Amino acid sequence: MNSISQFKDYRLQASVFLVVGIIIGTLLAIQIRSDTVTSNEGISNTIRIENDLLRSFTQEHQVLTLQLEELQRKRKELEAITERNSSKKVQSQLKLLRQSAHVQSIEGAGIRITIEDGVAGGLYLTAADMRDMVNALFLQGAQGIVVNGTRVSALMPIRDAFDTIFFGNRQVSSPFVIEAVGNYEALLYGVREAKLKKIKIYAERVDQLTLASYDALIPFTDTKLLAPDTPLSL
Amino acid sequence: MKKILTVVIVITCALLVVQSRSYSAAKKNGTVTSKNILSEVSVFQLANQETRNAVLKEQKKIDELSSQLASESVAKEIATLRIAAGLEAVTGEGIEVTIDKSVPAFWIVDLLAQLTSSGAEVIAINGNRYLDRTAGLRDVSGGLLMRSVFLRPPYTVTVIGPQVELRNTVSQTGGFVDRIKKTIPDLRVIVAQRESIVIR
Repeated sequence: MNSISQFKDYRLQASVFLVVGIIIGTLLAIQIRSDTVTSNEGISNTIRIENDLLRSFTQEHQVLTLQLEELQRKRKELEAITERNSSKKVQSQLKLLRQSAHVQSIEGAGIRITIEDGVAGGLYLTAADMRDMVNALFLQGAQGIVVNGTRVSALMPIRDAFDTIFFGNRQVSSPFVIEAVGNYEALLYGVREAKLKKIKIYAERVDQLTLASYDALIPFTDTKLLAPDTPLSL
Repeated sequence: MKKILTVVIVITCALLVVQSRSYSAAKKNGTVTSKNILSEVSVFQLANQETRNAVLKEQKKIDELSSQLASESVAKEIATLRIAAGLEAVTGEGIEVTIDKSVPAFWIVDLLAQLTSSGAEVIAINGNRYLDRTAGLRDVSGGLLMRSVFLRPPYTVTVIGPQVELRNTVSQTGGFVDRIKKTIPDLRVIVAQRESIVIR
């Protein structure tokens, strides 16, 4: 009996060793056949590609932006000359329409908000955060808003791309300086209401702000006046 | 002997578990990162294309101003400003998005963001034109406040712009309709294309 149970024990042990041996052998075979990969090689390749793409798009964007700014400057000069040569009635119409459309530069007291995200391991601002901030400032009566020198309208698309934010087709990076003309206390309330993530925000009262005019209006391709021949009354 | 066997089995199992987890983590990391890069590259491409288009438009305006067409250019500027000022009714093709119940303001802000990124030119919410002087949304009891105008549900967001692009962006997987219905399953959202919309 003893010898039978010993034999069964021996068979069980041998089976287990066999199975374990097959598993280890298979793992070794797979390991030997596979390519050697360092623990973070996949991630570093991805980061390298991302940085190359970002660099190439940013360079192209900078060249195009400089070209656009130069053309906008020339166009504004020519428009000014054309207006001076137009009738007084037309000049007056243009001035009133620009005021109504809020496209001219704005001066007045307001608030300056500085946001430096990602500092000391902190969180990063996203396009959604920026939209919430712009919404909160407009809600509190901001007459105009500028972010890092770019005038922002209520219908301007604000989008994320890598570690920058696009306002329309303008790329804006941290630190973000937001200026808004309006009642300081109301705008400060709006900033607090925006409830951004745990990112340090510095807000200060500014007695005299000058916000640049819009570079260009939205191109109205699909929109027409319902009654274009009706005389304008402002 | 049994002890040695037990130790060998435990070590082998531990190695198997570690290997399997590291493989899953590496695969997941690769998938998530490549998806993020593609969507963010497309934002850059779109922005650069928009800037190129803007450069061409500015050049065309300069050519018009420099030529005999200066008076026509001023007339066009006046027409554009009349639309932008929001004092007169405008018309064009577009879409209507109707949300049947009250939703938090951030959803409407999210919808407006998708619409403006897809070429929306003029937007109205429950017949109220959305401009710089009327912008700003917040939650109030029973509805929304758009600056100083109270909006009661259902909310109808009327948009003039390229109707096909607008509809596709809002209705696509991961778009506004998809995301809000996952969060609020019993909400009804209708997106309708229109050949002619009037916004006053």
